[in-house]
Amino acid sequence: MLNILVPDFRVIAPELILVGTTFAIILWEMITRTRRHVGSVLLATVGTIIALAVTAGLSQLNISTFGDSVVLDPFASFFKMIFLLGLLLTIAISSRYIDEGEVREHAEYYALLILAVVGMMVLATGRELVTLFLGLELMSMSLYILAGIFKTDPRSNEASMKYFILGSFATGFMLFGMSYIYGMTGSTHLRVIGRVISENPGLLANKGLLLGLFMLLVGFAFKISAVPFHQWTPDVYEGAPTSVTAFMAAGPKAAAFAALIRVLMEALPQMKGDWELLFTILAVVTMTLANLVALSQDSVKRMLAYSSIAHVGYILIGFVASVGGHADRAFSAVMFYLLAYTFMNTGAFAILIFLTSRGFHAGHPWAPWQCSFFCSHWRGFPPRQVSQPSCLYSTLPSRGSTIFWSSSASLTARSPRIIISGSSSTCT
Amino acid sequence: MITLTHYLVLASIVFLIGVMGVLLRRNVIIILLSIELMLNGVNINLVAFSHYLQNMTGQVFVFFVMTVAAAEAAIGLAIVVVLFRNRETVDVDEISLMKW
Amino acid sequence: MGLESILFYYFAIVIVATAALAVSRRNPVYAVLFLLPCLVHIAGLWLFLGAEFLAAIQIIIYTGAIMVLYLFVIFILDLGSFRTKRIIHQQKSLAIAGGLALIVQLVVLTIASTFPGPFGPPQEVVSGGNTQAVGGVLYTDFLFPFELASLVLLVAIFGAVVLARKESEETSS
Repeated sequence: MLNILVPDFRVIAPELILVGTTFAIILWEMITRTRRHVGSVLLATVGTIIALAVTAGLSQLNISTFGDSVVLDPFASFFKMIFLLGLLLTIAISSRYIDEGEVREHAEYYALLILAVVGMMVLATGRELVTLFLGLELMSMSLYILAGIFKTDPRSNEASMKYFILGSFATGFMLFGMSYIYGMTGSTHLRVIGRVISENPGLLANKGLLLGLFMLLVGFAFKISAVPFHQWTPDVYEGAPTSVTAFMAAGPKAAAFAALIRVLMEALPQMKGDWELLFTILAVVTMTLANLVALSQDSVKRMLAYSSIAHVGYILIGFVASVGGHADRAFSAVMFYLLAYTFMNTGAFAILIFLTSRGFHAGHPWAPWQCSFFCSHWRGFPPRQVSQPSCLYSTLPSRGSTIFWSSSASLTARSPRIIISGSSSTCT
Repeated sequence: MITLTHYLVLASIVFLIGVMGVLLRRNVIIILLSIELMLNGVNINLVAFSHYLQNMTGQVFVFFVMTVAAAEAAIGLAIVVVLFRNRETVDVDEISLMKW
Repeated sequence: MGLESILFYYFAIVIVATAALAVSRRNPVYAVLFLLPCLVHIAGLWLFLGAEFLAAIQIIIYTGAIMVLYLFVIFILDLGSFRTKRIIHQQKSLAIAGGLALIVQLVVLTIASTFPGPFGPPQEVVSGGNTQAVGGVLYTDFLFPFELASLVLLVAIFGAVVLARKESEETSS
């Protein structure tokens, strides 16, 4: 009897569709040798929409394959849809901007955007450290190249160089952490790690495992640009082409958060006490510093960069809140926040592209209104009001001081950004 | 008697030499080489753990780290080539159109 | 001191010394040339640990391909004669402080940690030796990451082609 295990390809169906789209774009460019972007844009859009439809169709499943190393659950599906929406918006704002920037490698540009999204999807679906590592690298490497796609612009070169050096540096730390977690538990599979830790409580006091957790979190903190590790963000956001900045500010961060949530909840839930403290410090420092520094910026792109750093601080509160026993509610708030953040942030950068090519007055009469709409998320217009307080207050009674501390920091940190967004609205 | 700890301490030292290289040096090529050293420190860790745990996963992990290191070298050097073509420098202090 | 200890300390001293020399050279050509023996000795260390396949790969890929790639780029751009104004970065005090803290933390924590030992039975050693064992795990448990690695390499090819191609050549073609 033939007993061959066939992988369940539904788990990675959107990824397969996107990879197929990449090849189609490259082949189309090779065959037609055209300078026009229309073919690439069309193929990329169609592929993304098909992948989005497939993801939505499969979103209720909860299955895993390839020896449980990739998993499709509603959590993963939700993040996949965030990434695909971000990709769709980025394609929409890219076509003219990239054309005017005279990027001749338009097929490669769209192919790299799509491969970066494949990497993000792997980050959201991987349940195994090696898989997560490769997904992270697939995403980051595509972004290093995209940041430098304006080859003749020295600022773009520089952004690409800085992003590359600091990104690889962070990868080194993350790998070091992964190697210790593997060494202490004998596996790279998240569930097995979680089981080994719960079966050997002595491990929790082990310095080696603590070192692994610490180094892993340092690596992640670089990738999500939380405050002591944020220095690369403003420079890279400023130097990279604006369409790429819009893409980088939303999807990759959401992907890093998705991987972080999965690692913490499936592999290291027993170490709550250790990571709660780290996240509290990170969240408070990030919110405070980013908002204060944002005040003194004179470039809109740099200010948006600091704004995105501050958002990371708000999202990290969700991680602190998750310790209180309502992890599911805290993380669903984080997920909703990321969805709203993706949409609003990409919108803000789209307006920026529109304005730099037209100017406020010559532009569309609706432009200032759209601008203030997308900037309103700095004031905390839809996301935080809906999500963050609800998750905070649900855990407030049980968790006392740390939550209160970080949430009050969040409230005070918000006041400068009201001034910023207020002044930006009056500018219009 | 050589124990696992010996290998791990050696790996940490190699990793840290790499970290110091990235933080202290100004020549981009040397920074890239330092990142290779960091990855090699991690690889020593993984192989040592793999031997100690009698488990092949660590060695397979090293295999993937090497693949990624090769890809990173290709991209990093391509970025250096473009940068040098435009700016005629590989000194990170001179690459400061924006704040470093 | 047994033969094992003597060999370990020989390898360890050479690795640390060449690594330190490599990151402190002014001329990148020398840095690469010092890194070569470092990587070869790491491969030697792995032979001790029963990782013959990786030792071979380390020499073929790392020293044979990656380091040669570095040398090619250095020679093509003529960076051997390039001098940075100072060897050391401006923010050195901060970096040294952070680095020292990390050294203490890493080494102390490594020595302080105990290792809980093998979990479950050791994986059976296949008759074909180390290479077959690596292959067996690679193509079963790690099939998906293996496919992903091909995409990572594809991105690297895109990167090299997109970034390093000269604008002037394109306009003429």
